[in-house]
Amino acid sequence: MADDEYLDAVDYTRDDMDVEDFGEINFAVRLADVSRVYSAGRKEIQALRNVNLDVKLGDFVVIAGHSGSGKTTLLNIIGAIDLSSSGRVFVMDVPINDYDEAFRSSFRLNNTGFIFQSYNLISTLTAIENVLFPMQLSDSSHSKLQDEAIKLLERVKMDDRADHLPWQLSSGEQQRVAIARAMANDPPIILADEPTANLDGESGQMVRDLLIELNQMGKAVIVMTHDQGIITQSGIRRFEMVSGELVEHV
Amino acid sequence: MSELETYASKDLKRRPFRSTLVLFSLTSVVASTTFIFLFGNVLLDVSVYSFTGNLSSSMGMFFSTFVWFILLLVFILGAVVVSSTSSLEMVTRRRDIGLMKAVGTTMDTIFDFFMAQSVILLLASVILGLTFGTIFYILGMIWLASYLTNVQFTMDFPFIQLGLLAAIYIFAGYYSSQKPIYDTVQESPSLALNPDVGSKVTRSGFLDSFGLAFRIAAKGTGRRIRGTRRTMISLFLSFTIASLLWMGGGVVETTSNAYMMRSMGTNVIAIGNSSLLNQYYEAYSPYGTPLNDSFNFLESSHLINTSLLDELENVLGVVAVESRLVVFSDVQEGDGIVWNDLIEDYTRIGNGREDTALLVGVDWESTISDWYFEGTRPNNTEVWIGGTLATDMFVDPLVQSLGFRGHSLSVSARTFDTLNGGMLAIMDQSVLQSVVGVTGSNLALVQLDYYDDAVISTIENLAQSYGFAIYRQQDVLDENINVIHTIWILLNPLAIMALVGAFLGLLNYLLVSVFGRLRDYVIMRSIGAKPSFIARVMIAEGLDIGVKSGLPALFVAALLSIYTLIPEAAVPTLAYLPVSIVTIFISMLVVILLASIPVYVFFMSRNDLRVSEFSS
Repeated sequence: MADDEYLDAVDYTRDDMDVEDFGEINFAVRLADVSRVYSAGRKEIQALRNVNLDVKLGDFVVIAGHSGSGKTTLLNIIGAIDLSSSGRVFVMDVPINDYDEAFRSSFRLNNTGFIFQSYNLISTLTAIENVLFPMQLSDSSHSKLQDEAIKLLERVKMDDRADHLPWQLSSGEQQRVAIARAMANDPPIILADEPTANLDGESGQMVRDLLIELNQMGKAVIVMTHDQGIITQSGIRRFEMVSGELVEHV
Repeated sequence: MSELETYASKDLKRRPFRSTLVLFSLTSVVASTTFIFLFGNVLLDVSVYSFTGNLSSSMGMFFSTFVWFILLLVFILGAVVVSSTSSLEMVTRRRDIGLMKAVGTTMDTIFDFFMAQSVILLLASVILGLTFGTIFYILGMIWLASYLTNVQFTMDFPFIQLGLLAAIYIFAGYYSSQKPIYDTVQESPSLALNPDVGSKVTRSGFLDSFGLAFRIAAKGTGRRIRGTRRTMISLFLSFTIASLLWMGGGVVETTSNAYMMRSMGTNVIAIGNSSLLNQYYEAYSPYGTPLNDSFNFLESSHLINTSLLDELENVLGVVAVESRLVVFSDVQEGDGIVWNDLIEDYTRIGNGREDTALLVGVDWESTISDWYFEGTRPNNTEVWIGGTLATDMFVDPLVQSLGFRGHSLSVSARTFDTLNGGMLAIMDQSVLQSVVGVTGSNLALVQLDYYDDAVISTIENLAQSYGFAIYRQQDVLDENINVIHTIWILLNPLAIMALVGAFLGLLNYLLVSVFGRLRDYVIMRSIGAKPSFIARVMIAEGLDIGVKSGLPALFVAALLSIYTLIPEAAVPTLAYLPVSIVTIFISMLVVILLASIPVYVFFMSRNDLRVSEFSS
């Protein structure tokens, strides 16, 4: 679909955020000429330069690149954590930059699952409470959610550590809990920022397997990584960020 | 300035947000408590002026106990808030201390470095706070002078109080910041770098049932941030002061009014010799002067004929007629015998002091007064004495006796009456008559249903026909009540300042709590928590700690007001206490809500957080 046709087709007034209500989705993510400029005093830093990217549901996208090349910025913009300076950002066909923070929060809650390099579990909540948190934000009927959270922890083999606080878990265990949390609310898009960078071989492999499993469930998975174990997987789309520009390796 | 101090001050400048915040917080607390303390002192002066003028010393004692207690609480509050803020600030530097230890900095250097920072902030805040507090105090005095034109008060610059406050604040702040630094310096670096290590899973509390925001907040406050206890004490004190001033202030006013009305009687017309009446009510007025020897109360022309009393009783609209004999006289302190535990024997007390007082002879059966008293009702060998007489002339009045005109009566109670500044003695009229050698009375008090001009005119004509004048006693009563009301109004700004103190204390705690768990809040936002949810969590944190300290404060203030600080407390209406409690509770919630707003605004305004926090 050409850009103009796509823009015409997008319903700007839609305010429901759950993917199940979206009907047919053209693109999980579509970036059109996206740039991001940061101001650092008098200096301007161009983190992203005219990035174009189309990702469909079921795609597994890996973006590699040096530190400071703009990978995290790109991921933050796709995840509606950050806003682009120019260009158009569509996630699940929704032009998320056009909405306010409250909308983007709800949108993130139901449509994207974030996996961070440093896990970012909430320090005062136990493993199961961390998984429950986004589910409770979305739906507060507690008893049913508790069962679903346990099932998610079982999938990442962390159900036996459900009542432990983050500081009581190893790095690999924290990342598995973070993946379970990213799966809460069953989002169609999984965004992962260097998910295996801090993990040992065994834990890293477990995380790789989980990401592939999520992709096989039909979710769009976008991973920023240097991990050759992920980059060399078959059936994935590979990109590289070079000084803020996105280059696809076919 | 040493190299270490230079480095410490540079470090403070490099953290402008946090440094400004702590400086602002400490300065505001020092300024507000300084203002309350100095202005409260002035109020006491005003009270002292009024009470030593002509209002009874016994009432002065009720008010001054109450106001002194408030000032004591304010003083403690200032020290606790300064110490908790200093302590909390150093708690936030725990990671930095751990980092310095991890790279091999010696414990002494770390301690000196952070203490230098703490002292810089503390001294700057105390100097600024005392300056602003004094400026507010001077402005308050200007307002007071324009508001209370009839009342004079001393305007000496309060150097001693300021010096005392500065010393207490610096000592409290210095000691409180020392402890967390010392504790962290003693910890292993890994523990200091990972403050979450060792925290425990917090179980559901009652606030959890209010929804997810409260559950998250309770988990946060449940981690027991160091310094929480002191913050809770300071909030407890602030809320206690505000509640005492509002609730207790109203009770003090109503109780004082009730004492006054009971002792003077309402709708009363006094009849007697015009000079005697002028002297007598001059000694009752808040702006009048006490009695002296210049007037002879016992002149035969001043004695009231009993037929006048009979005629007065028959006037339509008259409720009661009472005759009194009032005599100004020298009085002496009589001895008393008490058991001395130390020597296990009875000992004699009393210093034989002498003074002058108004002796009042009353017919206990027909008196229109219903005095508040501490002791027992008197018989023919006993006497009641006023508050000032009891305080100025006696060691333990209830076991001593009062001497006058060669006679002596045991003191059976001290009573509340503002007549002659509390320098009075009330006894059976027949006893006083036999002592002074007269058979009649020199003052008639006529109580009416209400002040009806026609009835008053009839009474006046009747009095004039016997050569006497009348005096509208209700005017003096109203004047006295107005003075009490003015003092109560003056207490209200102090209550507001106490709430401002609570607001600042809570604001500072929330800033430390929220910014101490900044990462958690940013994670919540990144996961999809709406800004409104983040705001609710912050309010819930404030409610958690605010309600835990505020509700006991409310309870304590109610108990103190009714049972401890004010004897025979009276309330304006049955609904007064419930309404006051609800009003103060709502004010508490408003304070908590207001304290959460700047924290939320600070948090949401820092857009760089999401980038720096999640960059790999």
